[in-house]
Amino acid sequence: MDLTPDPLFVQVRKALRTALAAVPVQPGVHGAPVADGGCGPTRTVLDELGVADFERPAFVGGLELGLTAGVLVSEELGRAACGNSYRGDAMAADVGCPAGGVALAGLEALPAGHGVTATPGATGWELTGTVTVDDPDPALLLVPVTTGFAGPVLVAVPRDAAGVSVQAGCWPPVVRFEATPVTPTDVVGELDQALAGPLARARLRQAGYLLGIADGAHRIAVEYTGFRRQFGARLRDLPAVSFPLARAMVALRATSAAVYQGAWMVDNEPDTVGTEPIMALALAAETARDVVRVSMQSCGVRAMTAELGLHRYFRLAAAESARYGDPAALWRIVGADCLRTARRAAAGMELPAAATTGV
Amino acid sequence: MRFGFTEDQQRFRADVRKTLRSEPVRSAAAQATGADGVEPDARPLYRLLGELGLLAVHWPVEYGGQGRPLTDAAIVAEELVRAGVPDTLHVNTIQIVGQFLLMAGDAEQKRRHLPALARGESFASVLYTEPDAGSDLGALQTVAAPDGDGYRISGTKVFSLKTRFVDLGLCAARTSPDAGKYQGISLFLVDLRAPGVRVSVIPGIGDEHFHQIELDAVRVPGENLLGPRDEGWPLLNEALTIERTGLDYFLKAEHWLQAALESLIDREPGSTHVDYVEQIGRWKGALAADHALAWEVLTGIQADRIDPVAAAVAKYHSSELAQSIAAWAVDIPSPEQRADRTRSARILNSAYREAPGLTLSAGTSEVMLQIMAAAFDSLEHQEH
Repeated sequence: MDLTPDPLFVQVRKALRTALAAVPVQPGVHGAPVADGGCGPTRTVLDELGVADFERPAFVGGLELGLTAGVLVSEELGRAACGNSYRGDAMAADVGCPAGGVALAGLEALPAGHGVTATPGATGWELTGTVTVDDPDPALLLVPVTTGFAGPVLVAVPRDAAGVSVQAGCWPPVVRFEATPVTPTDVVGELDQALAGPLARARLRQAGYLLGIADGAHRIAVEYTGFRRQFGARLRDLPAVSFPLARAMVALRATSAAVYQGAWMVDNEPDTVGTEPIMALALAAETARDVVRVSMQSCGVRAMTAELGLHRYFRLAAAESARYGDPAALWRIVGADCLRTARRAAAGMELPAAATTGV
Repeated sequence: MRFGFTEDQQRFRADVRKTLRSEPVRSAAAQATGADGVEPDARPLYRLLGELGLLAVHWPVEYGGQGRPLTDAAIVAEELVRAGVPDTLHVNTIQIVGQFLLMAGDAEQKRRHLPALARGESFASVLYTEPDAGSDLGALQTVAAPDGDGYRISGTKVFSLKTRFVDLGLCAARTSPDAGKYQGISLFLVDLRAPGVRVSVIPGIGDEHFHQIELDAVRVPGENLLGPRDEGWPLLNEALTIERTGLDYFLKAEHWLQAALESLIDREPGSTHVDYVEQIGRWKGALAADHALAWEVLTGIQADRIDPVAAAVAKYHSSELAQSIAAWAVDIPSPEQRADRTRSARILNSAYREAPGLTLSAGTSEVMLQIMAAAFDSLEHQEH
């Protein structure tokens, strides 16, 4: 291992951070806290930086920086409390769909739920269900569908397909499928639970986004408690305030390690990837919730107003931490895998010497 | 940035693992493992490991090592614990005192002490804490008074581990008592067999007991002064940072979770343990992150970048994690397993009693949080 930061990624991060700082934010404390979707206000920034080329392989003209670059982009979007205009197109590219106006829907039902179900129809299946979508005005929806035969598959559904209606009056927006017809050609991929496939990649990008949300909130809290004075001292000089913020820093660094380790494995040792993407997502989801809550508490009642901008992180943490599945359900997958591994070891099957952790 | 191990490192790990799985090492490790408050003498095991050349692989060849990188030493440390080797003597002798000597000692001091430590013929311990100087090390009162070409050290040190089995103490003492709280402190290597040293046991709840060391005008030659006289405080802080990689605590956490899984599988082989899997998943995730945090510190030290904040984060995370796993796992062994004194039941019982010390030794969790909180100003500055 050598965890010295890569200078190229340091530069990329800096460029993203500077550019995203200029993106206008939603001013109100009610309604959607961010403008969602592939055509949201961060789109221009990402396009100007050529972000779409970061993960793209060199043989199609991309920069081939790997998933690590995609995670970093996601993290910076979260850190700036911006909507995520990156993930839909990134997953579309992973499954070979044309990018542009792609929205992901219904990933919250993973790993075990039934958000959208398919029943046999005249020409294939009919989709039914109501799920969260990350763009109020998408051109194409990518949605995990339970067919009843195997694990979920990813289906591409045009926004104007029969029976599709997007409800943008709530946040996050919701899409309804009412007997929406799809054919086998609309299936763009399987969603295996592990390995380094599109779902694992999407999970790691989302983990990066959540890490950024937590880090952004923490940054605001550290800054504010550094000048706000009470009891004759800076808030941050009171252990009752500084210790929870320090614990939050530990959680952030631990989460960052898990997220970037997962991305590194997908990029460099895809054959060894197991539950790391699931762990990273679950950890990031819980860290986002916890760190944002601590950050809100540290800043007092102003955190509940538009003054510090923390309210956006607070709203985002709630919506985004479960958008790719309930963390508890994700942990159960990891725990079950851990037990299986231990059982194999107990049966005398030696683990590989390169294993990073023995459990 | 590389989260995986190189092929060389994997080969090296496999070789070390194979060596440690040999019958003589397994047998010696079993005999060195304490239980029920009985603390065996682990030195025979360490002499064997010294003969195998495994104790200090990263030290220069002239000082008894193999000249390998520090990261290879971390690989050995991981494999030692995974092979069931009780690690306190290794942590104290090699990872703390030996490593400090390597960094701050002069050539003669290294030549005199390091080879014997690397061979497992001599052992060392730190003597920092005093009855009235725990986390507040600046309150230490032990005095080293000039005496000819050397010093006479007087004072009381407490709560060190393994001290009755070791030969050398890395001792912090005041050489200029009126210089101020953090000034006038020096570090010495003290021969714990010398006249005037009295070591007594303070029984503790763990299987490793504490010690009290009375130093009554103990004669210490001038060549045993480590680093410049009166300049011990910065050295002490550097030494403490080196202690705080978190790797040793990570390994305990991993070992204890492994024992908990072993107990669950043993007591109900066919069960999916539905009540436990969610928490097991959380521990697994936390361990993976913890391992990376420890290696971040280790690779920093390897590159001469000693980052006290990264070390505090790693130490805090690993010790809190290990302690939490111990508390969670203590009730997992069934009454039958406890009655049969199965391996996992013994490990988890011992873990529970050892765990409170993890968030106290090498800097309490509160001190770690204080280090992090104090860094907010500089981190905020970097931000802008």
